[in-house]
Amino acid sequence: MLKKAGLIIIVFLLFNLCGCWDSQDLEDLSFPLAAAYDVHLSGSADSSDPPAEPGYKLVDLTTLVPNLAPKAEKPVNIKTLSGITIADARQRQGLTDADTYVTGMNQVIIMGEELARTGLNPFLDSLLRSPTVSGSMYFAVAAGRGEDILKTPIKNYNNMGIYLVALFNGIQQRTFIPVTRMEEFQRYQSTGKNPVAPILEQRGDRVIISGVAIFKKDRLVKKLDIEEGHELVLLRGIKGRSFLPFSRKVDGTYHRGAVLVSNSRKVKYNQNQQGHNFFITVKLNGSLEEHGYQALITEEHLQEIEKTIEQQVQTQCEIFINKMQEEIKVDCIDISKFALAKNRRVLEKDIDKPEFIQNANIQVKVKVHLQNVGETR
Amino acid sequence: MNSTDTITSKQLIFIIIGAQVGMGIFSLPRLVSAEAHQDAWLAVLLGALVPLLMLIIIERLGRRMPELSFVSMNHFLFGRWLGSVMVFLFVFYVIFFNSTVVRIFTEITVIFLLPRTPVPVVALVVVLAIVYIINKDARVVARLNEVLFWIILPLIFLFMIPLVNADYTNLLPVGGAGFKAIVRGVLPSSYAYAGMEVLLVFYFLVKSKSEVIKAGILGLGWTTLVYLILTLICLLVWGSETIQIINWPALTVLKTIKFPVLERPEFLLLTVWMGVGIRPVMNLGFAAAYSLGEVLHVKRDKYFHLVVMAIALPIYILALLPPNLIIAFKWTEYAGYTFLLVGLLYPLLMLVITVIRGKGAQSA
Repeated sequence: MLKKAGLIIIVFLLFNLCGCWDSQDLEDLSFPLAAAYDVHLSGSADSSDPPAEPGYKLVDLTTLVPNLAPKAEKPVNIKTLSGITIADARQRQGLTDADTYVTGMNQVIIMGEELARTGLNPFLDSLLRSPTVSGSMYFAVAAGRGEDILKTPIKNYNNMGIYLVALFNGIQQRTFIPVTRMEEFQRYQSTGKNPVAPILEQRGDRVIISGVAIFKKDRLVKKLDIEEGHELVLLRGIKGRSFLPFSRKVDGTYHRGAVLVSNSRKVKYNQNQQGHNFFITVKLNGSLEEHGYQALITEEHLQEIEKTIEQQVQTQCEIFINKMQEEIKVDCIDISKFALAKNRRVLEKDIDKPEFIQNANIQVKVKVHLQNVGETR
Repeated sequence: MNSTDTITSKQLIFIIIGAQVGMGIFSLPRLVSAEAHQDAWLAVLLGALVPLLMLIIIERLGRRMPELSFVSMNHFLFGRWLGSVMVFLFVFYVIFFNSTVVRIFTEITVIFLLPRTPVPVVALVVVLAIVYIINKDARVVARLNEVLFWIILPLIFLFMIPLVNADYTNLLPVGGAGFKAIVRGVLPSSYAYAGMEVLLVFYFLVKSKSEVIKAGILGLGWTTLVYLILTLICLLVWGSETIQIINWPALTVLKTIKFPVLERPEFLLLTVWMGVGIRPVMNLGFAAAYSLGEVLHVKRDKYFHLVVMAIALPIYILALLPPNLIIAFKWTEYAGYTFLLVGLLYPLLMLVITVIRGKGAQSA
């Protein structure tokens, strides 16, 4: 009996061995909620950042860590450290902070514009390689430096990290803006695909989404404004819901209004002697939300509104496609994959070359269907 | 044979599933899509033909000598000395194969869950658990397989959630990778079905031998379905190109989703999988210990634990030998090759000898 009891105790202790190594006191941990990566700027790092030989530091890592101490003066610690790589900058945290840095809770990652233009994969590697880091963290690009976004004082939220998470959560139900997550940025770098990401910008004492960043694989190549971002979402088929204003001329007078629509996209592709042909159909379904024409809405009116929006959105989309082919020269509307789906082996070598998207024949058609007119007629 | 060493055909289904679905499932989409690209799912389906062939061969073999255990069969077909050597080779194979499973299991546990715990400690805990289980009888092993199966079943639905990020064009054009590429993908896919060879030992322990083929097909069918679903999900979410840079795509695919309360589903999966991932070690380990005990004429009640220890110790040592993960992956590849030898050629050789010996074998 004693032997058995002894054996049970030994086995129990053995099974708890792992706790000897991996146990950590919660009070000794710091959980960054948001982080920003930037090209190293002399003097940007905290005064506590340990010095290094000139030219050693290449990248700045800014972290936003909520202060969990009950009587802390500041609700959040924002610190910039520099290093030759991100992991190097992270390890220098150990020289300036008593707490252990746990990357697993990070929910927002912001890339400085200059860094994004150099190509991000070398800097994201430490995030993608570490299993503790969540792939679902929000990914954004800063207009300017990412650290400036995190260091902007925030009024109505506990800290900038919480504000940014709240800003991105469910944004696609509020407006046509792409929201990108870390794993998505990685996923959209395969052949025939390119990622996009929202741009964060400091305006006065606020941080807003001011546009959309277009990437060629991991390198930022173009910044779009908000309106262009709307067209991008529609053409790329990122599902969302937003108000769309329209302007209709009736008897020489302009009547303005707005619809609330959800979008979807269909792409048909074929290849013939003219080259690669893409036929994009953008469908918008929703309801009339505002109408300046103060008369009862008839079925005819509704159809006219639908046609007005169709023409309006189609024109905007065509302008955008033209810009993409002439200026951006990157398939940012995610249509090359349909060509690959037909003939992957032949096309995969050339599909990412600018000529492919430049020479493609892209036609777009917009279909609007308004299901209801709200509570009043 | 002890009465507690008999199992039902229903239990055999769970044993076959348990012997096949272990840690290899996590890297399967990467290994197969490296060769078969977007048609990896077709290669996974075709890969199932290899264990199906094994099942048919082993069943035919067992049917000809239903009263002979694996060891007796070897003695009968190859003679006492050579037969014992063959059994020892089988045991060596199990030790090597199991060591790769333990190592990969340990690596995943350390990388994802216990980053500071040394690999030897995690491996030791795993091997001790295995020793405890296979020290019991076949019925306990069978029941444990059944319980673990029902525990893991709901997790299949967890894997469906990443489909919100699915892109069907990642699978197109179907067959576009080419016949040669698909065939090349069949080889790594067939490794994932390693475990069917436990039937060499368990066939003798099944009460109703006429139901073995049905049980085998059901077990293999389930494994194929799970592999197919996971490979399709990984391809749909990432495409064959992105999968190549991920060590364990079927696990990492859960990182692409976020739950409101359960922030990190991959950790939930791993916590449950810690019990499930070592099933192949348990089943193959029992098969090896049972055979080794028989060939050495070890008294089951008194000294079986020593036989188990004699198998567990080299498994533990071998599991620690690969100096890094890349080498450990190489070892799993070698284990795949040996699986084809042991699971396919070995029973085929036995069947051929049985057929040649004709009626003599029938009367045995």
